[in-house]
Amino acid sequence: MSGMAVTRSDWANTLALLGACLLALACGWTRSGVVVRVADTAGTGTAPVRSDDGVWVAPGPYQRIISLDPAIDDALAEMGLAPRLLAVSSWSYAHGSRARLLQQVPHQLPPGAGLEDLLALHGDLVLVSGASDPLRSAHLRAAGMTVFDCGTERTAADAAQALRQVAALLGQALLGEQLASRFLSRLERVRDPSLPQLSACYVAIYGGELLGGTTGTTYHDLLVAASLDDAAARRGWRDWPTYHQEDLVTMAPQVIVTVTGMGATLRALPGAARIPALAADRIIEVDGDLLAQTGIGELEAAEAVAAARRRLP
Amino acid sequence: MTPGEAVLTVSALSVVRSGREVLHDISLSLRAGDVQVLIGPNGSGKSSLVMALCGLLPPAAGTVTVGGAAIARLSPRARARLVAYVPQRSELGSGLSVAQVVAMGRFAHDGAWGRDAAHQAAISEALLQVDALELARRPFTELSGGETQRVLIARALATRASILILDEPSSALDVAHRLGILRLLRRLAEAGKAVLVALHDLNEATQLADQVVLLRSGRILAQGSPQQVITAEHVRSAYGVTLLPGGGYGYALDGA
Amino acid sequence: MRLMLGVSLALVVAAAASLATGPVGWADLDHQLLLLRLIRLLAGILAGAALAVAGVLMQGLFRNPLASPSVTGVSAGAALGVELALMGSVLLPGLLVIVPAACLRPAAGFGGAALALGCLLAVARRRGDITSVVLLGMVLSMLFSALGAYLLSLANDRWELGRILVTFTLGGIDTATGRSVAVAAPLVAVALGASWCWGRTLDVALSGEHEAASLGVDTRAMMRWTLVWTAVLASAAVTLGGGIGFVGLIVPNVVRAYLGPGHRQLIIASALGGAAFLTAADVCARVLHPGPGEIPLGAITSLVGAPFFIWFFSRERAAGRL
Repeated sequence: MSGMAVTRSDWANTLALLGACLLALACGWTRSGVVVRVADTAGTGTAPVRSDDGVWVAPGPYQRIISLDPAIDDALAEMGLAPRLLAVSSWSYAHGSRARLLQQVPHQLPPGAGLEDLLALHGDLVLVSGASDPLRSAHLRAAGMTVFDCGTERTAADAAQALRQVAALLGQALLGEQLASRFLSRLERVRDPSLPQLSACYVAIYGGELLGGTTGTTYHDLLVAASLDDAAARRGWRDWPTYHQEDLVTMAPQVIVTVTGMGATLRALPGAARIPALAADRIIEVDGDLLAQTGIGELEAAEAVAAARRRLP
Repeated sequence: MTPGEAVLTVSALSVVRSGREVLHDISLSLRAGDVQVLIGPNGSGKSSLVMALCGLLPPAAGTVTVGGAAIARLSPRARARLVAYVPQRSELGSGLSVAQVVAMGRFAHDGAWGRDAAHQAAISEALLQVDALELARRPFTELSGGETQRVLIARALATRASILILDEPSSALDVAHRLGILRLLRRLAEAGKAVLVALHDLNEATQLADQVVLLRSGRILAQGSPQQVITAEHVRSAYGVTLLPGGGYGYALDGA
Repeated sequence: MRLMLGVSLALVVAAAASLATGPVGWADLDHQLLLLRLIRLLAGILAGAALAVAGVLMQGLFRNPLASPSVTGVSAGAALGVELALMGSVLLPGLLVIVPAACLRPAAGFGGAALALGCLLAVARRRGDITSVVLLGMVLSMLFSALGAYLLSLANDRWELGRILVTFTLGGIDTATGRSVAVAAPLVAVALGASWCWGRTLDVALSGEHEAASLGVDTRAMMRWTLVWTAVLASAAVTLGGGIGFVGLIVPNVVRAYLGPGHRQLIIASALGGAAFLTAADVCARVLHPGPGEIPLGAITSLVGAPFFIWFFSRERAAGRL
């Protein structure tokens, strides 16, 4: 048997494989580089703003804005910039805290809208969240669209920062700064230091799965605003964990914040008696849409949670 | 290739399979125009020897030389042009015609881009030699046992190799077909091929062979003419049975 | 011959339908949108042809009509590689600026496929027989799928990453860019050509390893290179379209039923047939979805492919051909 001796066919095939790889590399290897879009009309003269995916975008008088980030939709509406919006995310249109102001926007799109749907609108700026497909953004840029990634708004501070950036991008830096500061200070004022600090955690139950939200998310902000101590954060949890029932027992929260309608399911959990919040029936139920707010709508959510907190026995 | 010329030489061959030595110190030589028959009980190493002679099993010791070159050093194509192998059964599935199966025998002669000039001629000639020309368009899997064997032999002939090695070609066939295959092998040897065939049936071996090699437990027990090898003593030693005196072959083909 | 014409015609019709399908009407299409649709069409053709021919190669190598890239674990390895690249591009966003996405995904896919390939070749080198390769391939498939599931569980905290990974697993060519098509095209083209050249060898290999070796086939080299070209084809298809199944299983079997087992024509017809099938599936994915958006391509091929295959298999079985 010839064993592993290199034969003529080995040479031919190896050459073919190498050739194909080199050709492929040549076709693909051009750096995407940094993109700075030159504004059509006289620019604002301000510095480019850094998008969350690393691309620098120049500010400009964008008039046909497509916003696929529900958190930013609300901010834009609040700043009175809704007339410059060509399309908003369908969720904001239906459930957002500023849905009323957004009714005038001509188009709504799901956040996962396809390339053609976006390009067909002929917008001049696309705002996406950190949750969007980076490949779609790359493809849009390759097609000549300006795309700005607002990042993932995890906390109130993130939301304020995104707000400032988008405002600067649209030449409304001052307005953005005002709105951001007002938002943060009002959020701070929601907290009532005279109330006793009870330990609490946010838990939602979907299909038997216990999903939480703690440090690094808006849920933590809501708990803090309601003068509650985040029990999950004390235990070292981060972001949006999935709990086992035992975890809740260990955390022993005195109050549970959850979505309207889930309280009954939580009370019915076997072993609920071992969780202080469930045993004492200290469950705060808040509207799901409100709890899910990640932009300036978080303020309304915080006020709702704080109000419910005050009503607790 | 002149008749009587040694075309395949085996010297001191040992073969190991799955850690077990299946052949030990085998030496034999195959001549053009000769039919050499390999016999031995089950597990004696007949199939292993057949495969080693075709270059399908590497030697652990010793050499198999074909046309002056060690078979282990030849490329598969060069080897295929010298030694043709006919298996006991074929694994070929459905969808192929007889002509397509026989055409596989030309693979070793194919160029990188096209078939060589003798392609069609070799296929027709091979089918003619085994009397299967009329089967050319039939689906291979629809043939009878005897027809299948003839087509496999035709495939081996299409390689135009001078050495033909067969592994029990007639074991699954009825009497008439068995005799037909034996007659075919004799004809091929007379046409100048060197034929080595592993057989089960001692009567067939006596009928067909110019030379006989008797294997037992991977070693050669006896080697020589049929009369020298198939004796009562050897048969008792190898098989553990008694050779009856006057035992001849009970059948003959009409017109043989 | 009739079949060749038939699949070519099917491909042309499917291509025309693909170009004409989309949220924007044909009359309102501008140059940019048309280019977008053309890129999508090319991605579908390349991925479909690649998957189908990869199936032909595997079925020839294993002499089993049920063999496909997924059996050998090569597709799963490529998918794992691409998932790692996707994770990297989300968790380290700066990565996409340094290394273009179009090169990162295929490179990672090839890395994964090469890893699976390396394991398979190691077994093939030692044992050399096909049964052990198939068994190892199945184990590798399960291992890579499990690793992929582990990645998905790690992504639980970042739901956007999870969403991207799930979208990838479901399969779709809508995110193919001009550059990813440009990267995949030479790989697929060369691999198709090389596979065609191995066609005659694969014909002889239908007889079984020992017979093929006796007829002059270098079985080790054949196994080596068939696996390499299958890996190239499978990973190109996976990087273009994610998790798309059944193409490599169905198209070669349907074509073989009409054309017979000769590999050279089988490869050409399967390439055309695979391209047509995937393009048509992509059109259905867009047309059948209510509202904007589309059905995942992998779901379409499976929904169509699985019942079709069951019917086809029973029919062939009844006719005694399988």
